[in-house]
Amino acid sequence: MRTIRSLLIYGKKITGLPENRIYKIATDDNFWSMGDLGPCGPCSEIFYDHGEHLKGGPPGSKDQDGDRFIEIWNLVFMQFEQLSKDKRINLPKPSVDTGMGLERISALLQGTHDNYETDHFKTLIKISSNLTKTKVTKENIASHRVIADHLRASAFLIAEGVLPSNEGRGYVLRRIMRRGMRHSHTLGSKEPIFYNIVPTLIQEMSDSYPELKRAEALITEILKTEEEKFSTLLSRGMEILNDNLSKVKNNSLPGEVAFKLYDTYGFPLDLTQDILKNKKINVDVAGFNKAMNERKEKTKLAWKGSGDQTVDKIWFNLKDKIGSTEFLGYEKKKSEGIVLSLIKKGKEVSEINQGDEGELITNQTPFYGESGGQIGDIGFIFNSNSNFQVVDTQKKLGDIFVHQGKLVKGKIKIKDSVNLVIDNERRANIRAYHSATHLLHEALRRILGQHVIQKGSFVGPDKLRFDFSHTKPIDENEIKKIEKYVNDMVKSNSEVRTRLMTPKEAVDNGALALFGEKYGDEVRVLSMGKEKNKYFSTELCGGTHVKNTSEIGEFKIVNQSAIASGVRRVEALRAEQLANYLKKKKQELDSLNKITSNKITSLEKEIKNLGEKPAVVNDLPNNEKIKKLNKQLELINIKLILKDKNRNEIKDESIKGLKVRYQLVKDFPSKELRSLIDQGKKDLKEGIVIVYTVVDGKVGMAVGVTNKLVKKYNAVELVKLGSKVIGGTGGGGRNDFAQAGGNLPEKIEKSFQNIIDSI
Amino acid sequence: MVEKTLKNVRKSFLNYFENKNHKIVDSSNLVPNNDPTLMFTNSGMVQFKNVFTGLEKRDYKRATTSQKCVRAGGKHNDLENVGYTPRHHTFFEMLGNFSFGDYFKDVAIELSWNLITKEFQLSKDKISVSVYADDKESFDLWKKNYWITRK
Repeated sequence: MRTIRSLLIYGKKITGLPENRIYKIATDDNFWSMGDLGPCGPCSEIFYDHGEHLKGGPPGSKDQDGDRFIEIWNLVFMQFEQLSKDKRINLPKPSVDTGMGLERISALLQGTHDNYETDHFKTLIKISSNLTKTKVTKENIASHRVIADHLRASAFLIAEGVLPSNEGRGYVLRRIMRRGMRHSHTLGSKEPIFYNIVPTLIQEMSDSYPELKRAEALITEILKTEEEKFSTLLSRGMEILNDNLSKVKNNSLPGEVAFKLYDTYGFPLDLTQDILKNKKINVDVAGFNKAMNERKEKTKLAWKGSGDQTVDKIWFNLKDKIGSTEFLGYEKKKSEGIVLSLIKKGKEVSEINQGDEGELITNQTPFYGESGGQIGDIGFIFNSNSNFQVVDTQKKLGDIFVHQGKLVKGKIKIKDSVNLVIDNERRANIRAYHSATHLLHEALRRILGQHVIQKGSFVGPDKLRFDFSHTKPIDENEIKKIEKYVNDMVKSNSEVRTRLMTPKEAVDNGALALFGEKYGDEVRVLSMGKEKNKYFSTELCGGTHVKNTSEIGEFKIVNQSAIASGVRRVEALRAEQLANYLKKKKQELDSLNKITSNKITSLEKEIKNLGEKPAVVNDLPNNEKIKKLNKQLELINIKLILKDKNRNEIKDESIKGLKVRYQLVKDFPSKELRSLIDQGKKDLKEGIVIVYTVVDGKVGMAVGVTNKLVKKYNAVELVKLGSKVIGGTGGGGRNDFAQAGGNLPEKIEKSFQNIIDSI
Repeated sequence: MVEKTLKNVRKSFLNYFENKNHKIVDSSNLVPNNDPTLMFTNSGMVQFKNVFTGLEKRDYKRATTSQKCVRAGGKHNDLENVGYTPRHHTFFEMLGNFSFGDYFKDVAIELSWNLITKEFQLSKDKISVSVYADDKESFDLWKKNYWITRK
């Protein structure tokens, strides 16, 4: 009996669910996989029955998508691993991944099946209703839901530094924002409203997501700018729509037009349909969908991933094996270390030899690995019989420091003891540029506004580059103020302080954290610049910095540009490099000034030689002076040519009672021929004037016909007859004045004759 | 749970799993930093992908999160639906619990059942579940009076 009892199965009831409420589903709805290969396994979904008053059937039935049976939780059991198309194995240690929509379960617990009827959404919709001055009704609830939902998505994306643009993630954000803003217009709101809902959203959510509070200024600025911009698009889109009404056939607007409005002006199809409803015009929805599908295909093709690199498997393996590298470079410029790993052509090797290029990892290092915008260190790693030249240092998986370079002498093996020495002069410049970047960042926020956030940074040994969110160019006055802030802090000659804290303490201390950046349990906080017993700048940073702000030296912004929609870039120099830059710039300017001054002197001399007085041009910049003197010289020359019988030949004749002037001038500018035609017309009173000029072997010609004769003779036709002969290709003008050119000066007389013959 | 506000539901979910030895992990970013093929984080498991495949190790085997997600197009969500239905969103939060080679189906089902029926106090009669047709194990675990052999 005892034996039998010990074998008895024991009963355990987990759920008590009757069998008829467990639905077996054979489709992919209940089988999850990470991709074509990798972990996969069955899912089990939990449903809630909202009651018979709603339409919808149980899981697996035809009408399962109704409102009655709602999926509330999906449990994924990662049981297998798909190794190839046909091979699937059991995972030795299976895993679990579950997902439950917070909005959906909250709705359920608040006794509704409508997520937008929950406390959180009701709060947002109430504000939307107040701002648009519209009561929520059955007809307009969709617009209020859109505003609440799209505001959430937009605010969270902007808080991570995603900005509206025309590609990739930024484009998705823009579409969401535009769609939301269109609905606020539909509700009759003429003013931007979205940014006014931000404080409520922050109040609702910043407990769990403090990034919203941190980015408040940015979210507000971006929402406001985009909504103002869209206002204009909306009216322009309306114009396009009205212009295209002529294309309407059979009371149907072409699908491409509707799509253009959708795509370029942010008009959803339903808005276009709504506008046209009054005019009893439909939209060719099939054509719209076709254009839309083509666009989707294109977008799919265009989205080739974010461009970030996937971390190579080798680093995960190495991290397991050798752990993290200890970084000594905050204090030291040289140290000893043990070689833990050598990599050649992407593979681990046990030794490298003279001439080999590769990567070298030690247990500790003074070399800074590129991160946070700061470039990696260079230098040497060596021992008594080998020398590895480090050309770059990279950081992998956060804390493996990888020295890249070439073994210029000897041989290095795993476990060798080595000396590591960085290029200290280069590092000193990098330190100064990095500290200057912090001061610049804070100065930008003070002068331009709190919406300024870092979008990118490069800290090198010879310059700094800083990209940040800002929608317009920085004017000269602002630049001066920004530079003054930085230079005042440099001159404050104050200690730079580094502290280690938890991320929360850091933010409580007012530290500027980078948006969309992940921080560990402990962060370095850099404070610098003395300002009324407080620090001017406090920022989270893992980089290397000066000990005293005075080490930065004189600072100046030397360049600014726009690098993407809403993102500006400034470049700055400091200390000796700035002095060299300014010196070089001055030399260039001096030599340019010298060249232009010489030109002015020679022009003035030429004018004097022709017996005239050079125009007084003292107040003008050099290039303007040159322009003015050249013009004066040209006029003098024209006068001289006209006075000189050898260079100005005029023959007036009468053909069948019609007065015709032939005039040939030399070196006379073609663009001034009109003045000769006008003079000729005056002299003849009634007749035709034909003028030729030869400049550098090229012929210019013009024909003038006096007003009363234009009905009989057309200047354009006459000039064409003439230009044909001198190798020209036609000519143009009006019936009383026309011009042409050619390259056969010897045929001028023949050209004239050809015109005369036609008269 | 006093008032079943969004805030309280989030908190009560995370606390429930924390009490069952799960580590509360912060939501990762919407812009994924470990997956260049993904436009936005769209589920709770995204930040744990490398942990599930075994590439990366963490110092915990059970985790729970409330994850920020964006779905704006693609197979999961058509932007055009948002606003016109009671349950479509572009931005939402996904609650989840995760076991990295620790517990499996039995514990997962038990934890979920107890959360919704005891903590959230949903009526058992309103609950139904689906399982994959071939997954007899899960079917049996959900079934009333399920018996297992003692090992």
